[in-house]
Amino acid sequence: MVSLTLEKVGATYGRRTVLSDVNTGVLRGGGLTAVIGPNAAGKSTLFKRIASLTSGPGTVHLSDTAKGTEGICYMPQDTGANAVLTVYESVLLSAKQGSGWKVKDSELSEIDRVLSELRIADLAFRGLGELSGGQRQLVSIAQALVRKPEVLLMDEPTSALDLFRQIEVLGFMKRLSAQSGMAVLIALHDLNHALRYCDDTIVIGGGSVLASGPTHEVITADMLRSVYRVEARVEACSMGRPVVIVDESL
Amino acid sequence: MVAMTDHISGIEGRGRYRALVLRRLVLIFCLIGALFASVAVDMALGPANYPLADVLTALFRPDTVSDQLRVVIWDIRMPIALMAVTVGASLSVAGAQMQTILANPLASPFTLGISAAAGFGAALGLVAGVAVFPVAVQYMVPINAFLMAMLAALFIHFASTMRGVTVETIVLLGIALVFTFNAALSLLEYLASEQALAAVVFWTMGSLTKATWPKVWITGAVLLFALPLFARHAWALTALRLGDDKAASFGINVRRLRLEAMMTVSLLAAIPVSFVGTIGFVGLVAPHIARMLVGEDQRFFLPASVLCGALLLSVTSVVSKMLIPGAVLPIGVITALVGVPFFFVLIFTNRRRAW
Repeated sequence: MVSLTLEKVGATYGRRTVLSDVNTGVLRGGGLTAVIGPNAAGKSTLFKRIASLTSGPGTVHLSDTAKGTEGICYMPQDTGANAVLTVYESVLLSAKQGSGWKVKDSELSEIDRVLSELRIADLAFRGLGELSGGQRQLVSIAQALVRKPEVLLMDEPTSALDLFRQIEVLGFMKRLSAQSGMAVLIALHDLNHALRYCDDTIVIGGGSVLASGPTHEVITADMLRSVYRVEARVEACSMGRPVVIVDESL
Repeated sequence: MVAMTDHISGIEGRGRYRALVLRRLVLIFCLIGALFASVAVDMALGPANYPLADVLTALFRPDTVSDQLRVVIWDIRMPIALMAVTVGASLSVAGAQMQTILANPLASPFTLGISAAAGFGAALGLVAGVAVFPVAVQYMVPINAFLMAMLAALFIHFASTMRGVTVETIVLLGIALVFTFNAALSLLEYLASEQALAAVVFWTMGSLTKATWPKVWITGAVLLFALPLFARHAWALTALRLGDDKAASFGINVRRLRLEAMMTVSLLAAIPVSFVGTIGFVGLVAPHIARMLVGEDQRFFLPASVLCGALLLSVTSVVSKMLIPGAVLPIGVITALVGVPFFFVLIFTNRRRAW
């Protein structure tokens, strides 16, 4: 099972430092890790740095990996809506990068499988431009999964989904991660989703790590006050699950 | 297998995808057939009215026809017909890739000022005898055209990578380049001798009548050099249409790909323009026609762009000979007149997205 550790990781855009000194414990595959924080905190930049899409100091340690850094897959917030491509072609595109023109039946079967798993097989031959934002987000997940990543970095994958789909996608990712041993880091704004689905949580703010550890230890009233500037409580609901209840903004 | 729910849709995508590929291949073969037909008609037409049978005999058994007929078909009409094919294909592929790498439906060698820059570079050589790069006199015009085109292409490329520069800004920069180089060209025309002015006017109208075998070979060679480069990056270029972040997440070095493609595009745009003058419509519209026919998977879009551009200019060459019997009108003037109605029909009858 793959594991990931960040040691003094930073990121720069030109001369501007947008992320510095990010350290984490060992993030093990088989579960979800939430990456939370206010807007422009550096969550997307952290993902891009881990995926080597932006430069910066520090080291991303990977262990027990079969693919090495090739196995890290970053899933951006959106996929292009202007391309004159069908959903099926856009997923094939992801699977075929770096390989020849010929498409094997086994590759197409894999796409069929992923689209079916995500329950978007009925969208397969719709144009990307005809899809809603939420449907495009599901296509984006399919594009990531068809690459069979060992480490998947999902940048707000549920931001455009309705409540049913949010629950469905996060539950699916949790089961998939447990079954495949994949390490999944998910940038989230809904802290209740983090509490329900993610074993660990990293809090990013101002370009550095403000807290990290088991989710129920990280998401506390004190953290919400200092990071999000809200007065809130974390209480158990009638089913015994912890939920965030916001009283007021400070 | 993990699924979001117990239910898994039974829709079989593999078969439908194979059918889609087949349909696209049929369309591409239809375009090839249409292109052959158009080239044959182009070679059959001319001031000397030869029967089609004689033309075909001259083509396939040149040793059995008169010297005059052989010279007319092989040394005059065939270079013109094939020049239409290679120039049309080159400009169309250049436009297709500019639209792809700049994510801009208005991008083409003409609208972004690359053709105007090439024309100005050529005019510098024709009017003032100035070489942008010191080379032998006979290569001065195409080299001037290429270097100026490359400068314009580089300018557009670096502008597009600057922070805060939007797609609309790029188009505006391109229009500014067009006006700048056209103004400089007008100044050169004003100062030019009568002979040089005639040569410059040849540029601005665009004409295939001065096509020769060496020009056909050079244009064809540049096309044959460029196509494998684009073909090698077919998946990566297609992925660019999903946005830079998405393409980078697929492991593509977006910056390097864009630079490589832009360099090749400048070569593709500059060489034809240096030989036949400014032909504006093909590079913009032929890629859109190809896109409407086969979508943007570059494995189909690239050959379809080649064929649509070649066919459009070849048909235009035919029309330019037919409009006024005995006269060959400048092809740059006729291109839009032929292409626009066809393009309108496609736009208004095609329910799929064109961009």
